[in-house]
Amino acid sequence: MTERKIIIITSDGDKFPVERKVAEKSILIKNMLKNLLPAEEEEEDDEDEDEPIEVPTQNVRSAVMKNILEWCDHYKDYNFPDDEQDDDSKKSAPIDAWDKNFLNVDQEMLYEIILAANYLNIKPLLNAGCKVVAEMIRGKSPEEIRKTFNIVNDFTPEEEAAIRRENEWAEDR
Amino acid sequence: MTSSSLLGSVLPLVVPFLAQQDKLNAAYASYELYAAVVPLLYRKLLFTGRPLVDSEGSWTNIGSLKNPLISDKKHSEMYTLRQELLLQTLTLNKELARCVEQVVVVDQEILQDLAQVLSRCPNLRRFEVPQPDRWLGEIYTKPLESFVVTELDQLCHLPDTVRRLKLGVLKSESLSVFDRQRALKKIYSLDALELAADEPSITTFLKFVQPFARLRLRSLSIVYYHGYNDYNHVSRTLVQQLLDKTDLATLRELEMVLGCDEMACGCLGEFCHHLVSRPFDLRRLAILQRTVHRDHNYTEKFDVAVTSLLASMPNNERLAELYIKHAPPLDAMIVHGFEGNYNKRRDLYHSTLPQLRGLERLVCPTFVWSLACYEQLMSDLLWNGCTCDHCESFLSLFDEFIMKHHYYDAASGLEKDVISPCFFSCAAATLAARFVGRPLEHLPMLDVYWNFHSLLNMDHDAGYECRFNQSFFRHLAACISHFLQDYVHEVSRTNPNLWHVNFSGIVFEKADFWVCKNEKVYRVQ
Repeated sequence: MTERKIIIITSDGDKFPVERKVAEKSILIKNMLKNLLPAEEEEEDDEDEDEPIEVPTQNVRSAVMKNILEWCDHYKDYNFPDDEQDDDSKKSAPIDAWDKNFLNVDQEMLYEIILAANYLNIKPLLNAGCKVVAEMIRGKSPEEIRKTFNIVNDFTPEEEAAIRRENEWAEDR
Repeated sequence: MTSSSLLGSVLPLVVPFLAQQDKLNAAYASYELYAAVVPLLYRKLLFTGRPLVDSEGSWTNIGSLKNPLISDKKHSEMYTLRQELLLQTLTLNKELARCVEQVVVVDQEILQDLAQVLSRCPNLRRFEVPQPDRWLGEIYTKPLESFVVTELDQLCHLPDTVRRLKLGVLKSESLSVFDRQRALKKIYSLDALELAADEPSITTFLKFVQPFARLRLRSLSIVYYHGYNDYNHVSRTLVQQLLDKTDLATLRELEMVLGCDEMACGCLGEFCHHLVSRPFDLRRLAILQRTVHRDHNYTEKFDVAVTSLLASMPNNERLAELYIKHAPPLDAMIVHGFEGNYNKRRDLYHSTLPQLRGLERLVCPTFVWSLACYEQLMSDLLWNGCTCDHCESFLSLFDEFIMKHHYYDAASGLEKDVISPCFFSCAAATLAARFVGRPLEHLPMLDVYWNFHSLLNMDHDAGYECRFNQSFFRHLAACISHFLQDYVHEVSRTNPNLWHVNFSGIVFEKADFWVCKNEKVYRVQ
């Protein structure tokens, strides 16, 4: 029996046909397919077998999905551990060189990839994206962070002094 | 959505990857970033009273100053001051109190007023403070996920949300208002059970739970220790029965304190042999040695049992994390501490670790401390080790320290000259003190220093102008990290999936190549 085609539909209506193992890098899609396919496979009537399965992803636009699928395709034969703890153990791992290069995109695209990886539940990509942003913040003063991310300081001097007082207990000097 | 507001959406995901000061600096950049960062800054509070080696992660440390030269008194004052400021903030801003979910105090006291305010935080899921009984009335009403039990009848009052139970030192066995069925129902609904307290508490708890029904746990901590005169036979039997009733299909994390202090006894080997006959499918395993002896032969016996367990354990290729901690003596003076005996222990692990093909993390808090028990190795470290500029400069200074210092040997009652094993053993014991909390929990490591005199009553010879203090300790740790590189490369060669190695609090991580994470702070300019 040939494997059924998976078509991922983005929020702006574009369709991306992909192999199942590429799509299943997303735990969200993997679970969706798990719910959809076993019941269908058991059916004796094979008339829908050639029909592709369409997977709508409402929160991801086409340009972002293209990038996400490139990442999924790169890692399609790599098995990430499936029962990672939700703790800090993986957070300290250095970023892989390929991921670093892959995530060398403009800031807006980087944020959208991170949000899409979070929505689609692709933890290794989410972690890699977060590490790239963390690297951009590391060791910078508030003023340098504003410059790096093109942020306007919307605190009044009094407000800024107040929030500094409020969190002084956590200052790591 | 603008780029800046996209950053605001992304930042809550990024915060756990930031160091503590970076989180604060991001919060001070704009209101939107403040709103994204601050709830996470208050979510998990760790009270250590010390600075951290590396503050990246989801915990916020209430510690002290990073300067190694400040006195213990100053550390204590700074810790108190930070607690007072936090108390003030949480009292004034009730919204921030809603963010607090986890409070853990390690080896420290906490201001009682602050503990009270924290115990009232409405979303509290974990509250591990000294004397937790004082706040039981408050915390029983919270959505707790984790609880430290100090009286058995507390089990009857726990909220249904509790999934992890840690046995503390039981204060009483009062059963006057005790509903056994209700307590047992709670125990059998747990995901995680930590039975690593004192022997009487473990025995009391397990006798209460007996006869054991099937436990479906994801995480379990136990003690299997054959003590002198076999005083703890009952607790060992109960622990074995508990393990036999634990559903191993669901168990992913196991922490075991193991030891047998009777040289002629084979119980440890038999226990490990029994374990490998069970269908384990672990991802994380921690093994901690317990012994009162200072003899290579007892440790070798422990290592033989542990390595046979690792080599034969079902699904050992799926083990992702291994934590092994030994119990060497502070002065590193062990019986039979010959190089050949070290080689035997090294070969045991050298032939076993490659069988753990999926191993990703290897943590050995006492690695250097164990090596320090074999004089030849420490002499190599000191005289035949790394030849980089840093080590060339500092190792000769440490050699001078050894030449000019003596210590008190409690076993013989004599003042003795410091030699390389006891010098590096003190350093390694200090590095081992970086670890806090449960072995597999990955709490951040504390930045602790040795002042080169506080341990073993070490003192300089008369007339020697000693300038060694805690500011030298980072340089000593750097020399040790260079010495460890060969070990890391060797273990990485046999375990290609390994990306994190922590030997004695010195962390090495691999992406495209291995780097020492801690070493960056020691680099000589």
